[in-house]
Amino acid sequence: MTTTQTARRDGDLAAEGLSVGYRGRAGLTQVLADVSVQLHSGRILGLAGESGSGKSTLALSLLGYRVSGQEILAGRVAFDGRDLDRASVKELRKVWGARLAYLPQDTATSLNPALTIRRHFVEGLRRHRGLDNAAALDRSAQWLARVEIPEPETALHKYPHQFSGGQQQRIALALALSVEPEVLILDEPTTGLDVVTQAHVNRLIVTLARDAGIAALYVSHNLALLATVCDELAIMYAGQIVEQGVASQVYAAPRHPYTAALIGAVPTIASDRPLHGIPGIPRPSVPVHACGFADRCRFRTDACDTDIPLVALAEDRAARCIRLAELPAFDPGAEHAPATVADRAAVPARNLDAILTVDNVGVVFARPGSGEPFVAVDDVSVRVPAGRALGIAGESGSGKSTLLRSIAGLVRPSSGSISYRGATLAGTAGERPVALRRAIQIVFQNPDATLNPRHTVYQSLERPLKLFRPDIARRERRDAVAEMMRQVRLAPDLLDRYPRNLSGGQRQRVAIGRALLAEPEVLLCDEVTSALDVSVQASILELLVGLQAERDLTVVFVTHDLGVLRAVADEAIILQNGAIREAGPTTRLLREPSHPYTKELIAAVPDPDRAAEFLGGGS
Amino acid sequence: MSADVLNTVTAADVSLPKQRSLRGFLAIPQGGFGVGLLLLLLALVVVGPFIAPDSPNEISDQPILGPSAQHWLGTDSYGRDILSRVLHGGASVILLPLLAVSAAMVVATLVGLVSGYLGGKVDSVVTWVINIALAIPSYLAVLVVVAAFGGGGAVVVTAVAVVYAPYITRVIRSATQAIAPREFVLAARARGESLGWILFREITPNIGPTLLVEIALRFTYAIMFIASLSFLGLGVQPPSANWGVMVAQNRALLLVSPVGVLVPALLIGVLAIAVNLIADALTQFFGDRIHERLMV
Repeated sequence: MTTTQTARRDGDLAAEGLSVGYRGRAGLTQVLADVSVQLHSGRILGLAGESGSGKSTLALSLLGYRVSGQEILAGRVAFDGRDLDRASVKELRKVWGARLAYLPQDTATSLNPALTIRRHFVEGLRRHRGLDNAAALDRSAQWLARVEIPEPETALHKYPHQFSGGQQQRIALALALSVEPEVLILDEPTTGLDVVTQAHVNRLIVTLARDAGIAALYVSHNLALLATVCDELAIMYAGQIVEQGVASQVYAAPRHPYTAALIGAVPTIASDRPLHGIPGIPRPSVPVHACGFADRCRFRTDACDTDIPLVALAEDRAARCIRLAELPAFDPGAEHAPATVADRAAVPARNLDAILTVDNVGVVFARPGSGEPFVAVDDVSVRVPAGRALGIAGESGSGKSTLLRSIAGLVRPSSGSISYRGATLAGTAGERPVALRRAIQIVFQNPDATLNPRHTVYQSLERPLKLFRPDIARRERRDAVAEMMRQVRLAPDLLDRYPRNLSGGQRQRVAIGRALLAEPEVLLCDEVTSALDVSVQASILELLVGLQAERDLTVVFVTHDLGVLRAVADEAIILQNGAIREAGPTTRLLREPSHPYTKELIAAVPDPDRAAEFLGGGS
Repeated sequence: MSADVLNTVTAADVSLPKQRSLRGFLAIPQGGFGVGLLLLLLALVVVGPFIAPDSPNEISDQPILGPSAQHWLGTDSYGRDILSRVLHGGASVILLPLLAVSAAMVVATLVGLVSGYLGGKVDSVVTWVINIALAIPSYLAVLVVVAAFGGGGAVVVTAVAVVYAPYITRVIRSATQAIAPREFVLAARARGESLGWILFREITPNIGPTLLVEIALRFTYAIMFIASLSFLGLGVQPPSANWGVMVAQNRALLLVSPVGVLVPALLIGVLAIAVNLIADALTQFFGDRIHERLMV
């Protein structure tokens, strides 16, 4: 394909000392403070941070996009000699789409379900590039081919819903790039996608953006991904940039305690490094005369209570910490003691009694409207040794959650049987005796829905005691509940709060507490951390691994994240289309996968140490 | 600072619960105004019978008088004091719709919860019945019932309750369907909770806002509906004092003595507006999306 690239000026888009606030009922909340970033053509800047750190606000501010109530408090956004933050809507409309492109997380916001793909392309190409219909169509088909959409000519006449999620995001990418913008802002473009699809889309993004000499900003919460695909990395916390530099250097030798903690919280499949959560919760606004991270920092001193400048360490490296001079560069690989999971692997699982046995279980759903039933789980057999953690991994639609729910008695298996300590379990929880319902407890994925919003924390936690623990007298219940709160690292004074006053991670702790109050033998976990920030995820996984060892629990953990799988599971099975593709001890399975599907999953996990492989390999 | 202190989250780390207070509700313009109006009308209805100058049905020899010092609102064609009839005539205007809506609500909540939660065959049957019921025009249905059983408060209340129940059932059913697949309900099922617990302790509190908005809206409709029926002579029967009946009876004198029609009609209107404002404010207050509704 021969598109002529116009000469680009280096560092066209830059934020200079940008401070932004939102004016709401409670007055002004500052969300960005003194942020300076510069995008360079042909290079990708990664912007990492937890939710609420201000990274999306920065991405949108760079486009000159304004939300009502938003105020620029200081600084400017400069693009090609003009101030985007002050530009009129008319001026902005000339550069948006044409010179500045934006790719959001959700294609539902970038593709119009009522228009064909062709209309999407033609509109932009005619408006911004002045192409006629035939030329625009030609160009569109070329771009669809470049993002590897099969049969591009036919695809142009289809509607967005006729493509899979990954294809939609690739089409949106082609759409953004087809007008040959100078700058591309990517806001979590692959977050909602399956791992293999994510890897594919990311490869395309990096290759195409570099080929076209585009200056890109890649916003994500996934630090390992950013370190793999980006050239430079900026870490945001509480509306400030706390560290920036060359991606590989920042990831290998972080200088700010937050960066180090964040890297320590990212689950990886490559090393035995245990996960460590960051205590506390991220602060939602910019700190005043203090370090934003101080209240969660292990290295905090009284000197931290002051305005802390971003200090340049080298030509392209800076960090915002008052103790930079005293603290050495962190080594994320060698911070802490070895994992409990690794210790347990000493006893082979086959020598242990199975507490839970799944025999040839199949789950089939009738599909309304069509005769063909949907096979969610296809003849799965697995035995779970007592006191061990079994991980079930797979992409969405692999049947992993359905399998877990059939163990919990929420989905009745269409065939096969599940037995607990040799006794066959009835298909639904309601038909099982109290002792069996008590013994198997489940924790769910979505922290927003796992607790009844109209019940206080105490009401939610008291319920399993009433049902399953007649040995605890009514007046002793409050003490038992308070004790459980302490075990899941929550203070008992939260008991009378409602779930809406708690953060996602805190709600998941309550949900884990609710399950444990029944004194179960088996704890089923359905993607319990997938909706949480990495730092919170690591704390929850740490808690789970600790509680499991302490209580000799058997855990069945469903996840799509192989890093999480490695952190929690002794044994693992890999599911695809409802069937087991591979099973075995987790470490061996990840180190020496034998099934092609397992290999494909592993290759899709971003690993900064093998960036070239990740970006070059596969499909 | 010890590691444990850092690791444990206390109430101090968490934002204070946002109270949905009565004050907050009254601060919404529609809420404050609606509640004010309703309280005024309630005061009128409760205190009215005690301060009325005459008995509502006392016939004098002075029919069709205009407003005067003796009869502030004049007298009707039977010579009854209109002010006294207005002061007595509000109770049934409020009470009958309240009874009808409460009865409909109890039945509809039960059926809607069960049908929405269980789904399957039960739900198919309920949906089928609702669809048939909704196809019958409300007035026609009530007219048939009244023709069969005669007019009067009890019959009208029952008829209106029966006519409204399917509408409310449909709303409750869809609200229940939205809550039923959520994970806290799954958690309850996995614990083996009883159907009663799941319906009334897990689901009902979460459809509370929808329920409340629906009660308020249905109440508005019922006020107008029953007042109209009384006007048509199908509801409260003369000689009872009732604003709807009064409008019907004094209609003939509209040009001669308009007060007798205007005052009760205005009061019915104000009552309906007050309740409607409250319904509107409730929707804003809970921020819940109102389900699409068909008007009666």
